[in-house]
Formats: sequence, structure tokens, C-alpha cells
Amino acid sequence: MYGGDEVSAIVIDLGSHTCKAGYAGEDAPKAVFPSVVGAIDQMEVDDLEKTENKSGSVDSKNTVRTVDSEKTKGKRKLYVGSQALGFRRDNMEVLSPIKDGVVVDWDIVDSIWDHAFRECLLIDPKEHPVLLAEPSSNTQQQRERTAELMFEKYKVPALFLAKNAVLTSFASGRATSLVVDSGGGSTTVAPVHDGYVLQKAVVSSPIGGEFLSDCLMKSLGSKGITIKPRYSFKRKEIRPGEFQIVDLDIPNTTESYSFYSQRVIASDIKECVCRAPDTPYDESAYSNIPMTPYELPDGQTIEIGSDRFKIPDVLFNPSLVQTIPGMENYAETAHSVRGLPQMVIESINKCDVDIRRELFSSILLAGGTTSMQQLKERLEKDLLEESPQAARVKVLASGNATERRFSVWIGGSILASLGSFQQMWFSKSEYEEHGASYIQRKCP
Amino acid sequence: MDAKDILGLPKNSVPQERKPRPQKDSQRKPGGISREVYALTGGLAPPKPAIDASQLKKRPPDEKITWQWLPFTNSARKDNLQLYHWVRVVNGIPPTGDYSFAKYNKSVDIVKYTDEEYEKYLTDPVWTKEATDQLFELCQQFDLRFIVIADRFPSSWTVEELKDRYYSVARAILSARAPSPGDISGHPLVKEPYNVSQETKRKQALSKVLEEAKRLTESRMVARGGEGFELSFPLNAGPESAERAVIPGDTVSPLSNVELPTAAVAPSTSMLLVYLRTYALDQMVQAESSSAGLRTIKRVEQTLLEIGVNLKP
Repeated sequence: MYGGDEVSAIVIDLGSHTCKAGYAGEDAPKAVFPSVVGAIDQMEVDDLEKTENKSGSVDSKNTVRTVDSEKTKGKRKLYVGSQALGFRRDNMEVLSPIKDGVVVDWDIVDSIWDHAFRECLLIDPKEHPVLLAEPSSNTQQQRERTAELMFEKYKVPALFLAKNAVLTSFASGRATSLVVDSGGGSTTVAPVHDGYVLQKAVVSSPIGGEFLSDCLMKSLGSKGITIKPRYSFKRKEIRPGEFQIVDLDIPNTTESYSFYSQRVIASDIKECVCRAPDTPYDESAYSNIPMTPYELPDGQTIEIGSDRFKIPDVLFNPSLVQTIPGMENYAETAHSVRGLPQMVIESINKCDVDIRRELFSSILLAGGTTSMQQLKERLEKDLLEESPQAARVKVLASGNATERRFSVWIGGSILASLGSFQQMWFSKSEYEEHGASYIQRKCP
Repeated sequence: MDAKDILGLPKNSVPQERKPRPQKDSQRKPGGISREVYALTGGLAPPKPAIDASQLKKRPPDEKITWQWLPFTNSARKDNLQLYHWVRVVNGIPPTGDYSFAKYNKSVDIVKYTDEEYEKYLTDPVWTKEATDQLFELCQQFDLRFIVIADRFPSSWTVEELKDRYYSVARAILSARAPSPGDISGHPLVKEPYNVSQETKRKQALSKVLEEAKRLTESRMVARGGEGFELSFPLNAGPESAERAVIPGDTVSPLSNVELPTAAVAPSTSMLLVYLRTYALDQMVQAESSSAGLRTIKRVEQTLLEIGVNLKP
């Protein structure tokens, strides 16, 4: 039958904002949850409690004192998943395993995978080959660590690490394209030629969806609007149909958790209200536009005016960040970072001349941030101005917002269920024979 | 029916479909609105198809088909990994034979050399043995996709240099191993050797075309506000550089706005013509369909002829 042969592989894409996991062959991931975890340090907790072994609790990296073998100081309890994170707990810190695109905390990654396998997908990893999506500029050491963790702890029969850009390219049916992946944590522009990423031409910038949400929060804050996180108030019904907001004072809530909760609300505002402007943002031009109302969870209605256009324009013009009060500490990084059209041109110019025209005519958009309205049109317009006349510029994005968000996962689903892919898995026996460094050869 | 007449086929081939069709015709669309409009509301189901579908998928009735989740091996793999997939089992006997997708495992035949052959024929002042070995390993891994190989190669050789080294090694090995020179003279590696300088120049020219188009666009925007193009004359009467046929505005004389593309003209030759002729044609087409009109194009051509410039290389 066409080219497909299902071997019940599992596809996991651990992004900086959300983790997507599901079965290969399907058209959307079954499990989508935030890729941050809540962690409670159990230093002050009694010794009695240390024996409980709920899923998700992992030994932390702090060394255990050899003198005191009774108490395991520094043991952390991790809470993974949107349900667990949504419930406020005392002293719960919100931690992300990924900083600047690089995994720094492998325990958290381990707990996320564990949650995905055992609680979301309900499978035993020993029986299913696993396809993992990795960032387009992943280091050898990270890949080896991933392989070790997967084979040693989860004992998967076979593994493959595929680059995000390649999977997005396959999801749109192309072997050569330029992939603009704008996700939660960062934006990466990577050219793919014949199914392989050209690593020397990958350009990335730290401006992603989360950065834009932070900008929006600071901007609203400077206008006097405070976003109350959901846990910090209660709605009491005084009279039928009328509600009164009662602020709850909850000590012991960590700052990272309250910031995280506020950011969730700011992301929602951004997704509902923000639009990419057709021309570069100009303070005076947008000062008189009509304001859009938005109702916050606590019932407060706020009006958003020029921020609707200013925030998305940070993607195209990072130096705008300096005009947002509260974000001055990012001013230095904003100077070195370029806007999206410049990144695209830079990446293409780093490639061999012969393929440049083909790359210009197949620019793919992927990632959650690219679902912003009018982003595709604005990018196309900016690129038409800066690109060579001889090259035809075409920016492609699937019309469905779900597909744009999950295009990496969908590409992985397609790849893992192809008949001619089954010879490319990195199997456990090969790992035992050649070691983790063989992954460089098997997963180019 | 006409086709059948032409081919001379008998006409009586499927008469029985005629009968049920008139019955269905009677419950056609209600009168008063066209068929397409009625179809928009959901309309009628399509009439009975001409082919009887139940006749198509006839299976022998004594076969028992089950689908089972069975392990399989893949001859395209070097280890013995066993994955599982659904298999159509007929009467309890699973299908035999290799994995059906194993035949798609094709790769390019890369020339392999031994160490003595390297010592005898392939030493090179610039390329060390380790670098050459690494190059060949990457060629094997990436099936001679030189752009990807150049990207993954640790030191920064260009694509042309890598291709040059690979093809010269392959040619040297081929000629060394051939019993007589006549045997291999027909081989493409020997007949058309890879020409590094030609490739390098071609790429430079192409990159200049891509860049220059942008520069001209910028200067165009600066010079006028939008409409109108400029003329650029080729530098020599013989080999030409990029030619752009463009129509000036009515008030401006064509000569005064000449811009010579300074960088574009490499000292080469007809190579450029091949790659730029299509571009010139594009411009011609663009000129034809532009708003300036046929008359102005004719006027420009006349002027050019007067000056003594060839319109087409």
C-alpha cells in the first residue's frame, strides 16, 4: 500500500513551550502538555515522607551527604502535565529543562518522558520504537545523552533522532525548503536540502512566543493593568448573577509560579488579540486606532490598543523592545538579534548558490507563534523587498492553525510510519555494539 | 456511442443497465430550479453506477483471512532488529519473502581505494589522506549530495573543491585499474572531466546575478518613484553580460540613463550566456507584458539598433 507500514512507533517532540507526544501514523499528537514542571524541594519535609514513590518523583542532582544516610536532602518532587501544574501548591517552583535551546536538566526531561509514556499514552516503551524530534542545531553530546537515557532507562527497541526542520519539511511533502520555526522559546531559520539540514546555515534568535508574552505583560503593567493569576482570587456570588472578586492572600506561592500563571493569561491575550502589522510599527501611526476589549479571568475588562500591533512587530524589529518599559534589560540582546526577514536572507545567503532560488520559493512556516494573524503576509511582503529580483519568493503555511503548531510532530508521524524508513532505526543492539556515539552516523 | 461506431465494436455490450436508469430518472430534480442549484442543498443521490460493485471484489470463498501482529525482519538492515507490523494471513500461513520495502534501499556506488592505491596514484599536496578518507566516508553516507557533504565537512572546503577532489580521485582510480586506456575512454568520468574553474566562475556569476538584481532594484527605486526601468548595455559586442530590456518613460531619452553593471562581467564567456539567457528572456517577456506598450518597445529597439548594439546575444 502506498508507502506506509505501521510499526506502532511513538513520536515525541519536546519543545521549549509544549511537549507533543503520540502514535506514529496519526494526524495529531494525543498528548500535548507544557514542557515545564513544578518542583517542590523536599528539604524541609520529614524523613517519613521520603519513602513515598509516586510517579514523577526523581532524585535530584544534588549530592547525597554520605554522613547522613537517613535523610536524602535535596530530593525533589516533580509535577508534570497541565493538570498537575494548574493546581497551586505551596513552594512549588516552575522549572524548564531547556535554556537557550539546550537541555540543562536531564531529570526533568526524564520525568516529562515518563509522564508522556505512562500517563498520557499508556504504553510500555519496551515495545515501541521511539522517534524523537531534536532542535536543528543539537550538539553531539546532547544526542548521546538522549540515546543513553532512552536505551538505558526506558529500554526502547529502536530510536531515531530527527531534526525539527527536516520533519516540518516532510510534513509539507518537500525534501528541500527553508523552515522558519517560531515556537515558544526561540525562532530558528534552517534550510533543508534533500532531507538534510545544512547546519552551517542555521540562524536562530531568542525571540519566541514566550518573549512576546512577557513584552505584553510588561507593557500592560506599565499602563496600570495588573493581570491576576487564576489562583489568587475567588468569585463570590453576592446576589444571583452578580459576582464579587475576593482576593486571596496566599503566602508560600513562589514567584516563578505566579509569573508562570500570569504568562499563561498573557499568552491567551496575545493569541486572541494580536496581529502582525502590515508595515513596520510606528508609534504615531498607531496611536489612534480603536481599542479592542478583552475580559480577564477575574472579570476585569481591559482595552488593548497599539500593543496589538507593537508586540508582534518585535519579531520583525527586535529593537522595538527598548520602547517597552520594563524590558530594558533585554536591550543589549536586542541589538545583536535580527528581525525575521533578515534572518531568512542571512540563512539563504549562507547556502550554496545553486539552491538559493529553490529555497526562496519554498519557505515554510512552523511553530505556534506563526499562527499569528497576518504574519505570513507581512513576512512575504518584507521578503519581496529584500530578496533578489531573480528569485521568486513564496512563503507557505498550512491554513490550519493546528497543523502549524504541530507540523514537526506530524512530520515525525509521517516519517516513522513509512515502509522505507524502517531500515533507518538506531536499534538497541547497534547501541550495545557501537556505543552512543554511533548515533551520529545513524541519524545524520 | 460514437466511439463504439468508430472502433467498430458491437453495440449490445451492456444492455441491462438501461432498465433501472429510467426509473431513477423519474425522481430527478424538482422542476423550476437548475440541477446545480438543487445540488447545493444536498440534492439527490447520484444514480446507480454503470458497474456493479459487488462483482469487483470477489474472493475465493474458501480462503480464511485474518490480520495478525507479527514480527518481521528487514534485509536492508545490518542488525537483526525485529519490529512488528500487521500482516495479512491467509488460511493460517503468513506471507513469506523479504520485507517489501527492502528493495528501495538503493545507494550510490562509491569508488573505494586501498592504501597502496592511495600511495601510488592519489597523493595530493593539499589533501591529506585523513581528509580524503573522511570525504569518501561522507560521500558514502550522503550518497554524493555534495551540498550536504560540504556542510558537514569539518573544515570549510567549498562544494567545488570537494567535487574536484572526489572526481579526480575516482578518475585516477578508474584509469589505474583499467587494463587498457581504451576500455574506459567512454566512461563519463574520463570523457568529461570535472572542471573546477568553470564551476567556480559559473557560481560567482550566478551569485552576482542574484545580488545585482537587488542592487538594481534599490537604485531603481531611488532613481524614479516606481515605474520605468533602466537600460543596461552589454560591455562588449561579443559575449554579453546580463541584458535587461527595459522601457524608459516617454520624456527621458534612453541614453542618459544607462547604468553599466560594473561587477557583473567576469572575463568569461559563453558560459554566462547559457545561464543568463533565460533571465534575459524573462525580462523580455516582462517587457512585453508591461504597461509601456508595444510602441515604446519598438522605439527602444530602434534606438538600440542605431547605436549598433545587438539586441540578442
